[in-house]
Amino acid sequence: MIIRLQPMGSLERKIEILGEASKFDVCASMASPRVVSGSNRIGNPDKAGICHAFTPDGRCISLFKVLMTNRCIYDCKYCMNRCSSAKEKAMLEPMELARAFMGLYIRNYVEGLFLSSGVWKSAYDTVQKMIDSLQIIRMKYHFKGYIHIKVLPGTEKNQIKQLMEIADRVSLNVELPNASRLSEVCSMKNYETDIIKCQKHIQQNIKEGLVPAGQTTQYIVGTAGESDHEIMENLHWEYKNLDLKRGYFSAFTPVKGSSIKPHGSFQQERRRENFLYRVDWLIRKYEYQIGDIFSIMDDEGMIPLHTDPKISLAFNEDIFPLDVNEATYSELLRVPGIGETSARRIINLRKVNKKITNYRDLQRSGAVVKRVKPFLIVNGKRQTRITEFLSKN
Amino acid sequence: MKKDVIDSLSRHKDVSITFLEKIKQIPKEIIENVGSDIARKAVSMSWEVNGDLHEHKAFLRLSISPHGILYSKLTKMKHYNEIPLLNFFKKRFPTFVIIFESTRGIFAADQNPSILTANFSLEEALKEWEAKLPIDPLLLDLNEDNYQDLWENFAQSQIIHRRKSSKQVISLSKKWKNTVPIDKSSSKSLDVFFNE
Repeated sequence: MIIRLQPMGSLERKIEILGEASKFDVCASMASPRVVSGSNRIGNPDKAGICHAFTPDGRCISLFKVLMTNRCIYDCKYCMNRCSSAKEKAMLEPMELARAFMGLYIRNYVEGLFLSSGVWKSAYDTVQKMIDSLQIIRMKYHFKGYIHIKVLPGTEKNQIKQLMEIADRVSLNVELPNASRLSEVCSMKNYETDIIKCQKHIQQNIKEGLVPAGQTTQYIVGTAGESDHEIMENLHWEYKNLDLKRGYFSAFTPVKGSSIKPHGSFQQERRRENFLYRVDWLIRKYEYQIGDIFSIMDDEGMIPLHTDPKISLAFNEDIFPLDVNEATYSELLRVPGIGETSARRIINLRKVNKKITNYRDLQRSGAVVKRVKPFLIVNGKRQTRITEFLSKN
Repeated sequence: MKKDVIDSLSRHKDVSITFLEKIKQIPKEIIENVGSDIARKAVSMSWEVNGDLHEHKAFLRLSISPHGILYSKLTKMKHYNEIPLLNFFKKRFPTFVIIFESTRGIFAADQNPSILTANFSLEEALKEWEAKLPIDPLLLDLNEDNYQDLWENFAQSQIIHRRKSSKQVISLSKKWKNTVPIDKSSSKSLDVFFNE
């Protein structure tokens, strides 16, 4: 085992190391409903969030996303920061982090801070360092903008509360959908005590009014042979029992020196990641039940990657074709090619006696006409049969 | 909201008074739910204005003076968005004086949230305000490091090379015309874009 412990170099180098070490953490949303007032402050959160740059794969860079340190006592096989990794190690001092972040925020390079860390010495010591940094940012610089904090596995209850008093959003990565899957790739973490127990403390604090943007979590896709069924079942449990705001997915990227080999090709795992996002969206925004999602999975509990899940779900329904001028909002939401906005517009126009009489009207509402055609009756006609549609897609 | 659509339209560089008047006559339900071709035209023009404003909120980089002034040149602004942009940054940085120079002159919001315009250059405006305001030691501290380089290093560190997708970059480039994908060969483009 070779670990290169280098003396702290320049701030730029540290940011490069610790930025790279955090790049697999997903933090797509930076919207917070918190409203700030008063003039003696710097910053405010934005309701919608703003992306300040994009990476070549289209991911948004909006937050200053770094680790406090990439030193870690754990040896999780999927992680590039595991203790046996030969990656160069670094650690930010609280003042360094605060200065780097505030300088970038004031210049409008970033929209807020996303702070995570490897577990250095112990969760307690690392989290204390994180709290010190955040207090400088909030107290010395009077920063009132967006902060997302990763709670480390095994963080103590009182420290979780301290973090949540500072942050807009907190998250704790479950990484894998159950204890047995986690034990396959990380023998040192206890699923119940290190992860679920901490998530329950977070939930309790949210109920008491802390972190307006709620808690989220993240799954790695394709590390331990887990199925989509296992992931969605666990995510659904988290939504129901831990008041989770949303789950993120990240296709496993093989790390140097790790014994884990991905189950499928990377492109296949990325597509899987994308489809998991789609079905999660259908549950959260389109009124689908978890049972609906399970019904389109194959015998191995995987979502078929050849057809969009909403189209697969539509084939299972017997409500189609629907008359666009008579369907309810919930029914319209189930039509492939119609989203929340277009469904709302169609219903609102109906209220002022403006009916949809042709595909041009539908297109104006924002619907994707090509996808909608087999499922809707417009002006008494249906233009494409489902079988024709299937043969073309 | 119809009010927001009309507000955005009035800042569009190509909007005519006749068109605005026509839009005002249309019922709000038709505008808000894009119920006719003219409503669609109005909504799409308002998106152009809002897109321009959003791009500036996202990609405009500010310079700091230790006297508590944030300033920048708006060389890429297509529509008349100077005042909403000023309001956005003033709300974000209420203790700072914000100064923008656009093709239409100087736009500034000082300690009191008022908007001023004058016919002098950004450098002259900066000099005037610096003479009036004391140096803030906290900002002097934040002025020392080279944040441009820090940002470039950070942005580079976020790239996951295996995930690179030319298809997605192309579609994003179309949507966000001002966004240049970051890679080794064009890493500075985003900031150079506004400073050229």
